[in-house]
Amino acid sequence: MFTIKNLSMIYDMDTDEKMYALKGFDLSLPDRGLIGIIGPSGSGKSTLMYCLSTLKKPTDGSVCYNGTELTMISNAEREQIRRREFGFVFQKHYLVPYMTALDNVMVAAVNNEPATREKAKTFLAALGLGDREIGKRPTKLSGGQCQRASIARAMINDPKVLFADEPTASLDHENAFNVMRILKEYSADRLVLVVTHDRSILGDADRIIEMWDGEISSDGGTV
Amino acid sequence: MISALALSFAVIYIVHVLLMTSVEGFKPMLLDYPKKVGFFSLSEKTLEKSKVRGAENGDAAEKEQAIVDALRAKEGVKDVTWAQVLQARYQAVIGQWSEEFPLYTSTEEIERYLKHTGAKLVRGRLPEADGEVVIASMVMKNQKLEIGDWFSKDSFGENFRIVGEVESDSMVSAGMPNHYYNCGTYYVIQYNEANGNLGEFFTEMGVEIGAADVIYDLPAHRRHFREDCDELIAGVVNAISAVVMFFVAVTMLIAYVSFLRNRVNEYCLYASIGYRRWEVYGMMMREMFIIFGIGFLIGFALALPSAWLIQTVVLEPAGIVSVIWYPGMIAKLGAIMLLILGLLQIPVLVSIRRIKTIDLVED
Repeated sequence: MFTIKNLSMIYDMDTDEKMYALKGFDLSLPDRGLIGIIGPSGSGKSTLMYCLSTLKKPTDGSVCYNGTELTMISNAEREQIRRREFGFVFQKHYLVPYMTALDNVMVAAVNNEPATREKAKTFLAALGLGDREIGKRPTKLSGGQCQRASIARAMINDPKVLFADEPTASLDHENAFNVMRILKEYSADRLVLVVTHDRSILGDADRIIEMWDGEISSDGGTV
Repeated sequence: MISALALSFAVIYIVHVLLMTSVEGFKPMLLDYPKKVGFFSLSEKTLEKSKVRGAENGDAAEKEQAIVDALRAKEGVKDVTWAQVLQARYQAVIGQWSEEFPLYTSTEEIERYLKHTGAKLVRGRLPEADGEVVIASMVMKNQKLEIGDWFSKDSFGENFRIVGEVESDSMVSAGMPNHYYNCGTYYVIQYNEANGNLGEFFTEMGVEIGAADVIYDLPAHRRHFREDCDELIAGVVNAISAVVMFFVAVTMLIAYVSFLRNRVNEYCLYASIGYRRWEVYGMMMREMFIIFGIGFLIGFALALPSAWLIQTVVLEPAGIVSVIWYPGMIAKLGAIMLLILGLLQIPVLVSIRRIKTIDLVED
């Protein structure tokens, strides 16, 4: 699905002390499976995810997604891919505070049809948010419920790739494992990339890529 | 934001209704009454220097008589009488107007005058003796007068007693003179609207009107209405609207900028999950239209009942003529709101340009 060649990302390009977030590596990712990208803070794992998801444009190298060179396409095309083919779970849930959990899921939907709304309800129910919770605003939900609502939001368009950046960072252990279980199930027929510094949540990962100082230090292992 | 818009709408509308009481109250006196009755008095100097048609070489009295005869001969002119006048005062929320009414020497003349003007005696009786007057209902109410009271005691002393109340569309009053008190004497002409331009008639007659001459005809009243009432009030209403709306616009601008700042994360999310900027702009605009639409509707719903309440509880008991339905003003307020909406494009467009994706926020 993704073929990455010589991927580099340099911050502070205009200054003398350039900061290499990614130091020119190659990587290939499959169509499905749960892949963990792990590494300490500043290792470049989030930057890698942002480059793959088109949120960031790398300084150098190529990111080929299903035959499309993501570094060469226009902003509009990038937005289109993000909207229709990618799903995002961010470290913070980024739920819109004045909307209900259900409406928050619908925010990402490409259409507002009743069938999509039903689908959103189904996702939320599968994630443990019942009829009572889906009508509540984020301030009335727990951190775990908010994060699960944000996972439903990421899933609503049936994305081919789901990017999850530290999806369990604000959750307790039980909720963290629940979220990971959901992501594992979801990865059966698509690619789920989980960026984390917490190795313990990647027990079910199909592949773990370890990053260190902007480079891949190990690839392919499991916990 | 909605409440600021709604309250501003209601306040401006109510101020408009209150100020317009002057226009509505003066209308019958300034626009309707002079369609039926006119007054004039020409100075001796004017008459002497003018070559009045039919009395070119006559003295002032002969010239004046020629003018009066010519007037009486005109079709649509019913009566031309040299008579004393009094002024009936009408007080609006802002400003007042005093309009002359004639003092005839017989009850029959008064009857004919009331018939000509379409006024009807609704209470009391017609004047029968010197110093008796019948006053327009609206003036009675406005000046808190009753039958048996002295008319405008402050101005005319205890010289004119109210014996009846008359009702008409044009606030008509009439009476009989008091020989101890004279407020001025004029020719009082009862005519139809087509003869309302006395100035034009005098010009045709060869009269050279001077500063000392008095002509209260239809064009003079219309001019007064336009300049001293309609345009003046419109100017005041516009000035008040401008000041209020300026503050509303500034408040809205500040409130909206803060509103946008509180929603940075939301816009950031939209951009990150693939919304185009114009889609976010569309969402913002839709939201703004809803805010302004609701503000407009609530303002409208507040303004009309409030205006009705003020009319019923304050204006009507005070004898002040008022109208509460001004579609033109509502349209104007709608247009002002659109203008403010246009102004809010500035922060919207600035924030659209500044939308970041989540990666930049978290960097």
